[in-house]
Amino acid sequence: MTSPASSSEVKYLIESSEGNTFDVSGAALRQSNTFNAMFLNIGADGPIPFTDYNEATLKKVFEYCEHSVNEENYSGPKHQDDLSKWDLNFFNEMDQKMFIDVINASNFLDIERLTSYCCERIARMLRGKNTQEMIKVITLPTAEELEAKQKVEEKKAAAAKKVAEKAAETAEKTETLEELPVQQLVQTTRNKLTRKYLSFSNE
Amino acid sequence: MEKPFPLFRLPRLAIEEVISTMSPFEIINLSKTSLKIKYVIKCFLRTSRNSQFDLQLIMNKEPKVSLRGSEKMYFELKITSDKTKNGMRIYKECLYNEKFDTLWIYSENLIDEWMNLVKTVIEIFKFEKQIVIFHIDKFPTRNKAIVDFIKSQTPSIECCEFQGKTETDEDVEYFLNNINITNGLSMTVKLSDHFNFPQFNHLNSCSLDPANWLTFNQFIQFKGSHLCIHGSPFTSYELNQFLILWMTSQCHQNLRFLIININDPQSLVTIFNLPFEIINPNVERIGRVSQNDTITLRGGIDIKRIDGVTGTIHFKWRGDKMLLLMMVF
Repeated sequence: MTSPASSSEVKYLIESSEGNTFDVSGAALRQSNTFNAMFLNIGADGPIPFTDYNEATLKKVFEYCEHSVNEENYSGPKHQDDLSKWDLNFFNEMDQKMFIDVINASNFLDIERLTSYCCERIARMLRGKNTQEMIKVITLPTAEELEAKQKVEEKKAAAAKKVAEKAAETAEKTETLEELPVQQLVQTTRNKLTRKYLSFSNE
Repeated sequence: MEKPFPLFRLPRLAIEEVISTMSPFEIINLSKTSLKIKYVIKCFLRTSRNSQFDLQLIMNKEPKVSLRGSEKMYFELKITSDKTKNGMRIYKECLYNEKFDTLWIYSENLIDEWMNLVKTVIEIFKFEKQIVIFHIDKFPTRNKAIVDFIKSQTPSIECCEFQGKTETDEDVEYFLNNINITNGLSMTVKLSDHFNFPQFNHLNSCSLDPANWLTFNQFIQFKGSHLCIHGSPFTSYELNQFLILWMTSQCHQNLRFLIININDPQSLVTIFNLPFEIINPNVERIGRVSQNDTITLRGGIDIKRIDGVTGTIHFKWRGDKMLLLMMVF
């Protein structure tokens, strides 16, 4: 990782589930709130591991981010009809599996614009349909799927809790370390004053 | 993407984002696809800040469930016995910027289908207010069943409106005895002179047309702020008694606005057998009617309550009936 003067020129190395690495510009990566929260301030040694997602998916996601770098700030979901030709091509050339992978990755990376466009696209599939027509469009979840989903979410919540606890512990330690010299200073001053007072009273 | 889309393999946030971009019609249809989907939708809508609607249950020739969202947008689902209307959807914009998106659903059994729809809607959405508009003579044999059903779905309703032309004392009484109305009541329904009104005192606003059954005692016990009475049997002497009771703070303490019919326009002297002041009609006054609303008044007859509050009375005609209007400020 380098750190030239212009932030848009900074390149980050991303590692996919296959272990492959590729470059992504800082400007594109900063559209991910997850990245901003995890690496922006502290930096990263070596490639950033997004190993839950394959290279093709990550490249697709960052292709979108690179493209939307120069767009205005995101201000809520756009109507599908307002999407540019490039956006439409981007979505149309994906098959269903890739589309789902992109939503999952975008959701994990917390890229609001991409997630919202993908969701609007799904909602469009259901728009204006009655119950019977909807049943044909979507796969209904089985009990096992729902159970598995719930378990994954519980695991995620537990992992997030652990990370938060660790972070809190680390923060506490840092605070203690920072406070030590001040406390020592106070203690030293107090000792000096006590000694002075004692010597004065002895006189 | 021709294969069925595995919506529920998406992360929860994405599913919620999809739901949030859907209209109530689509959400209702989606919730009917499976119990599990209904459960997920319910969890999202009941915790979401954006899912707040007012619910209107309208028992008409085509029973209707209407969800009123923000910006005066109404999503209406009408149950129809006309097969050709099934799935028909019409969007229209009306006066005062109100927008109506209406979808018709065909059913041979209107009431049962309406009940199923109400159940689904109440189950999945979170409502701020619940309003019932009951055309009491459209399904006379099912009125009690409808009341029982509404009672089973909601502990109380904010406002209720009755409409009807046939004398239906028993059904109206049954409704009022079983369903708690918390704010407003409007009755444009024909009732016998012996109709017994079970709940009246605690309502904030009430409109009765005709109020042939209303007794003077019931009338002076009204505690709300807005009262609109047409066709009451009160004499001018009784209206005078009411005004005197109001001036001495013995009744209608919260009253802000009153309309009441005058049965004998020749005896206004009897009504105003009390201290009053006639205001110059060229003088314009501004009265505060609620926290942020004001009203401009010209002329009228002022009467004063013992605590200094002013009531301004005007007279108006509605057809051949004279009305007394009183604004309190």
